[in-house]
Amino acid sequence: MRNSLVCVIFVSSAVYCASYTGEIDAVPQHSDYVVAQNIQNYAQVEIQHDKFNPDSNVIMKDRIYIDETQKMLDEAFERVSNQLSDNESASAKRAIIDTISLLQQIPLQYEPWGDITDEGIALMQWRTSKGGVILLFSGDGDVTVSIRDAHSNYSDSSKDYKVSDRTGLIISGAISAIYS
Amino acid sequence: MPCDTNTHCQDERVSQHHKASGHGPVKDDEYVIFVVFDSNVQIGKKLSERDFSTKKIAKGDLSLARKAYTTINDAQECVIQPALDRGQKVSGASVALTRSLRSIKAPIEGLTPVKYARGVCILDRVENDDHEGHAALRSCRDEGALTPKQRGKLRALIAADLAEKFDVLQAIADVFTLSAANIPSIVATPGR
Repeated sequence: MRNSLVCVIFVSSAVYCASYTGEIDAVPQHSDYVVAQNIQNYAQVEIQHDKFNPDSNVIMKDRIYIDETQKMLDEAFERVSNQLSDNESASAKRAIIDTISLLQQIPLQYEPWGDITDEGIALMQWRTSKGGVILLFSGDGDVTVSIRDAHSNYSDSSKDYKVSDRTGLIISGAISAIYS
Repeated sequence: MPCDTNTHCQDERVSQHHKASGHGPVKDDEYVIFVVFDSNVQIGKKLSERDFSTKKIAKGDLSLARKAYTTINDAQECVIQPALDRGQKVSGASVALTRSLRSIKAPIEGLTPVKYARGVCILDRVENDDHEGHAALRSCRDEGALTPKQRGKLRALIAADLAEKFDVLQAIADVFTLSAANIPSIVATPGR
């Protein structure tokens, strides 16, 4: 599928759109949107036009959040480094790189919380009274996305995506939903 | 021992007390207290996943105190003072309903339609130096089919869920004397 515009429509009627100009066969299809559909109840439709490029939407606040996140993750790594095995430590370093790489794809309107677990998993989290979104990185090029709301826990369901698949669209929609 | 799908953690059914005595398995309607050390969360703020060590969750070393059977003196003697002696800083404590913690579940890989297994066990584990109200939280799910990275991610999600269940960090004295009716997170979300 090429040159298609993907819009995510939230319950609040807010619409977020982004265009894909390259091959996006690897981007999850409808059946793969279990996390988004089941938990956040937002619908997604596809329209055959290019109108919006998320890369051009980077604003100064994004840059600040990314810098702060990098610093937060570096500090978290220092905090847990003496608890990590050599493998976990190497994975955590790669996970930080993946995290920043993905954050650069997301128009960041809201500041995330970042951490490294004592097993070397990098974690980004957005929390509100309405729910939360967690991104997990183990340094293998994948991101695991999980969404919590009033009816579900984070561990109920999660979905893996490739960091390189421009999954920022899905993640941006989920984050916006908990702040709407 | 792994957990059954949906409902049971086998080790919760029989006492894990080292003398096979004590107060018996932890009941769903019991409140358990989590004493928090070295947290960057302030009193009155929500706990974060960072407050729950995923390695401790994996080993069953995450200690809890059964509210009904733990006095503040027990906590001081068996939980707080030993931690202070190890150089840890006491940040506060939080409380959750056991049923709420046991509601954490995770899907079992490879099954269609999806089936779930419990995420954590709450055990009445009491060993030599523990007080009689000691309990332990441990990964419940049969993680044999997962890679180490998948296990790490699952436990990170469980840690984040635990942070939501335990909710707000409170002063030690307040938690050990708090009545159930004054615990907003439990009153607001019964059964979760």
